[in-house]
Amino acid sequence: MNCLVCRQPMTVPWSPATLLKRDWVCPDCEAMLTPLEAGCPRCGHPNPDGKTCPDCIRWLALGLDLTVRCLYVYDEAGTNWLHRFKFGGDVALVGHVTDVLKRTRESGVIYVPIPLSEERLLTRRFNQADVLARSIGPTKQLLQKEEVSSQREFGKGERRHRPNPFAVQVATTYGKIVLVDDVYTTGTTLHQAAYTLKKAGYAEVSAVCLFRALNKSKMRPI
Amino acid sequence: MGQLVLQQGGKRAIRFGVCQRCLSTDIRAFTCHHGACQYCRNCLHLGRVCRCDFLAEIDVTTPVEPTELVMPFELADAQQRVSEQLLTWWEKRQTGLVHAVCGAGKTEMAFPVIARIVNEEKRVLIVSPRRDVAIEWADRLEAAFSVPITRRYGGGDKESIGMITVATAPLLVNLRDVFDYVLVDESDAFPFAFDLSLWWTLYRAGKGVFLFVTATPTLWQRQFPTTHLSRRYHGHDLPMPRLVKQTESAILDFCRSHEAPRLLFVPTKPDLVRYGKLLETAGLDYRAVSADTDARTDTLVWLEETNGIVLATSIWERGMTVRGVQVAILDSDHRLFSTRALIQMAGRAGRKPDAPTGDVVLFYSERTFRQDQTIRAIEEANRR
Repeated sequence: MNCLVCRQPMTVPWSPATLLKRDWVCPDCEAMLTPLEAGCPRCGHPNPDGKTCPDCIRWLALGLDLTVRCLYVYDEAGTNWLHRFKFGGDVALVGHVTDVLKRTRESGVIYVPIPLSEERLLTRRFNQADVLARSIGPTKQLLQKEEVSSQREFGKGERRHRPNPFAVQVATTYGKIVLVDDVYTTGTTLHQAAYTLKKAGYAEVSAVCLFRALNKSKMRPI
Repeated sequence: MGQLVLQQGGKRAIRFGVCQRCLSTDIRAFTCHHGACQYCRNCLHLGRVCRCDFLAEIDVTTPVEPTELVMPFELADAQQRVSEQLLTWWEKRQTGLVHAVCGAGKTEMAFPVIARIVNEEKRVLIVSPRRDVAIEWADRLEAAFSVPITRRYGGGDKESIGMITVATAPLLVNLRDVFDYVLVDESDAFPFAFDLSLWWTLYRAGKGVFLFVTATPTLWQRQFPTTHLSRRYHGHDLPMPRLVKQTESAILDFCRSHEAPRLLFVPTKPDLVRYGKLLETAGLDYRAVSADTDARTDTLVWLEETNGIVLATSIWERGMTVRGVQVAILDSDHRLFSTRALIQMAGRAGRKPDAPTGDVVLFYSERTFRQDQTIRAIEEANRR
């Protein structure tokens, strides 16, 4: 058996259940991604005291209440991993994080991936958030997104003050919703999407995010 | 004839669960923008191919041109004999195997036949298992031939094919029916012997005439007509390995008893750390080399200049030459050390004419058949 991530041969423990599992990850690769320790209860950013972080206080002051469950630290290994997954197109890598994602699953919830715009979907061929959402539970594509330029080169201010690109499809029932995205940097994407959904009538909206980017300046609120 | 590229109007990239670019079956299902789709995990480094992509063949070859050959030195009698044999094989368009001991001057023997083929307006490919070896081949060819050499390895040219190409195997997968003559250097080494799809892609890149060059052929390669070369070009015997019971003091004795560069092979990467600690506590300065080490050529230079100690994994088992090196193989009973690996590692010693001998020690805690086979194979080569 070869490791899913590094593709090196590895030994797997034998049991009848071994036959059912396809993707195996070797211990080295398993330890590659750093899980988030306890931190801000709202966004998961590591805090020494476990209080709400300045970022989230700012979002709360704007009247946007959204709890985001982040799973891994967006460090160098996380960046490489996500680069392979998202831009290299190695969709099978999701098997590396499926178990951890599945643990966040709740019953009676619909998982809504953050959409890509039409043009981006045509070039990338797949929606990475959709892949993550499918590996957690039942999904529904409720949101639509118009074309905006990539946020990769943007600073904090530009990221935060962009117009809301999301539109919501016509709803039939208003159940509980969990948004799914890959990286939480400033949180603008998720908060804008949640705002759109709430305005359309969805009362309970929370979010799951795979990676949490760490704030470089610890003291200054962003 | 040419290179497979993603282009509209070609054939489907993945058919019958086989990637048509790299011929692997490591195909995964996923959801494309239009629905259920598949992609190949084996050739992601060339850009992803999806089932909804199409592959077309485009001609990437440069115009043919003749070449002149300047031999770096006169071939010895034995080398001359092999070289003539290669020419007759080429005239018959026959695949062959050169079974030459480590350090026999395999590179230069192939020069006359390469020159002949290029002057017949045919294209030659030289495949080597690793990038360092490919670079060495390309440098030597560049010095001897007047045509430009296409370097198709990591960091080289991947867009065109000249008269002579030096390549590593993973970058050949998207070529088809290009090369009239394929010289497979160290043909039993890692990529070919273990990955059947890599061999089929290589087979597809060539036109049916191959030359396998190795010191340790596999059984499959022995089916082809073989020419032997059991003498090194300087005419000395191969150093015979000694068997020594492995203890910590024996290893340290080996390190202390030689002034020359010392090369210690270990089976796995954790062993590098383990034996590194042993050397450190004994107060010996050393460097470690594994596949993760970036500055491998720097370490090679350092080893030769300072007469230092290097701990290496089997990454250095082939294609490296250090003047007057003394070789020790730690844990030579380890299951990763095959007979072929042991022969190759023993062949690192005594490769230069001014230092034709060297100490080769197999440290063992258990005697294995592989060690005996190694010694017997080297004895046999010396007798012939």
